[in-house]
Amino acid sequence: MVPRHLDDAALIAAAQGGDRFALDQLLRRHYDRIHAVCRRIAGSTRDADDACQEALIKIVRSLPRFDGRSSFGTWAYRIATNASLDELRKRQRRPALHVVDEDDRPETVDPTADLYTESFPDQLVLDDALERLPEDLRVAVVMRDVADFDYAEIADALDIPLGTVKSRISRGRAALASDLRLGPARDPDHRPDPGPDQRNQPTSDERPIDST
Amino acid sequence: MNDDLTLLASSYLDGDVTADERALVETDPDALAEVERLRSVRALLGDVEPPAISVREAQLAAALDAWDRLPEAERTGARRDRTPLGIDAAAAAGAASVTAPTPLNNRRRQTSTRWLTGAAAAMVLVLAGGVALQLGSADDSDSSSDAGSGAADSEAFIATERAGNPADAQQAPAAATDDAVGELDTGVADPPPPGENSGLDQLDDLTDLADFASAAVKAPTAPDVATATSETGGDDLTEAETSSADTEFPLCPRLGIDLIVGPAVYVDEPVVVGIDEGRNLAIAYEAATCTEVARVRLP
Repeated sequence: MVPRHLDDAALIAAAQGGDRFALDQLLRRHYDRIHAVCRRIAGSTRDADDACQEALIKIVRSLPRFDGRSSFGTWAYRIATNASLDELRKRQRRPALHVVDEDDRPETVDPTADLYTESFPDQLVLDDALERLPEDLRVAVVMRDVADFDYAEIADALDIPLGTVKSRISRGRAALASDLRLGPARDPDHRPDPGPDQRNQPTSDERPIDST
Repeated sequence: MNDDLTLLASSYLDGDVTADERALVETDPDALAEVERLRSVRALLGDVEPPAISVREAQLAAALDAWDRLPEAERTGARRDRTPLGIDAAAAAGAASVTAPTPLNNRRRQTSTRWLTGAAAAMVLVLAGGVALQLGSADDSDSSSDAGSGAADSEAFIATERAGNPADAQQAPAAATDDAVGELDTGVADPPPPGENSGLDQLDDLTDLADFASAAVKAPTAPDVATATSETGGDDLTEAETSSADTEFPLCPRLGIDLIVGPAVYVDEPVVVGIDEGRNLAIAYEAATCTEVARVRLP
C-alpha cells in the first residue's frame, strides 16, 4: 500500500516499478487540472471529456519513459494540452451532421431545466468567448491561468520566444475581458474575433507541444 | 487604456515585473484597474466545473486499464534503456491516442485470433511507407501534435500490440506478414455490399445502432469485423489509401473509424456501421462518401 502523503516523485517511482495504486493516486492528484486544461482548450464538455481521456491514456502509456526532467504536472498538462488541440482539430475536420433550427428543437420536458441552465451563464459565456479567441492566444492563456505554467515553460512547450508568450497571454486575457465585458470598455477594434473562417486556426509559428 | 498598459498589467499579475514596473503599476489607478480586470479573467478561467464523478471514475479506470494492458517489461520501465526519448516517446504517446482502451478492446483482445495478426502485419506494411512520408514532411506540419509526429511508429506499435507481441515491435512486421496474410484472406468475412438492403439489420434509432454495434463486438468470434487503425499517417493519405484491403467498406479515417461492424439500414438509409474505439462510439456512415449519418456512444 502506498501512503497517501507521498510526493509526485515517489509516486512516479512506485508506478514505474509497477505499483498500480501509486499510479491511481498520481492520476487522481492531477486529474482536476488535466480536466480543466482540456475543458478550457477543447471547449465543449464532450470534446473535453474525450481529450481528457486521451490525455490520461497517453500519460499512462508514456509514464515508463518519463524521466523527471520536468515536473510531472508540467509534463502531464502538456500532454493534456496536446490532446485538447488534437480534439479541436478532429472537431474541425468532422462534418456537421445537422443544422438545428430553433423551431426544430424539442420542447423541454422538464420546465425547470431552463432555470437550471440559466444559473450558469458565466460558464456558457466564457465558453463562447474562449471559442472566439484565436487558438494561439487561448492555448497561451490556458497554459498560464489554468495549468499554471510559468512563462519559460510555455515558451519551451510552444517553442516560441518569451516575449511572444507574454504578448499572447496579455492579448488573450484582454480579449477575454473585453468579450466578457469585464471592467472598463475597450476599443472594439481590439477584440480578436476574426470570424468563423479564421477562428481556432493556429498561427504559423505554432507547433505541437513536445511533451517528452 | 493601451496595449502597453495591458501588457504591463498582465506581467504584474504574473509577478514578472521589475521593481520600477511594480511601482509604476501600483501608483497608476488605470494600471491597477487593468490588473483587476485581468485577474477576473484568470479567476473565471480557473473556475472549471469538475466533471461528474462517474465520468472521472470511468476515465481513470480506462487509464488504469491501459496500464494493466502494458506489457510488464514496458510498464516497469525495462524498455527505457533501448527506447530513446524524443520521437519514440512521442510515438508511444501517439499510440495511446489512437488506441484508447475501452471494454471493447478488452473483449476483442480476449477473442483475438490469428486474423488480428494478419491485420496488424498489413497495417505495418502500409505504415512503413507512411514513415517515410511523415519524416519527409515533418517540418511542414504545423497542425500535427507530438502524437501525430510519431504516428507511423505508433501504428507499428499498435499493430504489433494488437498482434499480441508488443515487446518485439521493431521485429514484428515481416514475421507477422508471413504468418498472417493468408489469415486475413480467409478470416475476414465479406459482408454484403451496402446497396443490398435485403437481409440487413434495420436500425430505427440510435439505440438500435448502439445495440447493433455492441452485439457485433461482443460476438464470440471476430473474423466478421475488419480492423485497422484510424489515423494511418495523418491527413496525407486518402481514405481510399487507408481502406482495408479485405473489406468492401472504407474505414474513413476522418470519421475516426477503427473497426467496421458491417452494413445495415439506418432509418431507411443503407449505411455501414463502424466503431471508433478511442471514443467508444458506434458510427453509421455512407460508405461511398464517408459521410456520417449517425453516431452514438456504445453502452
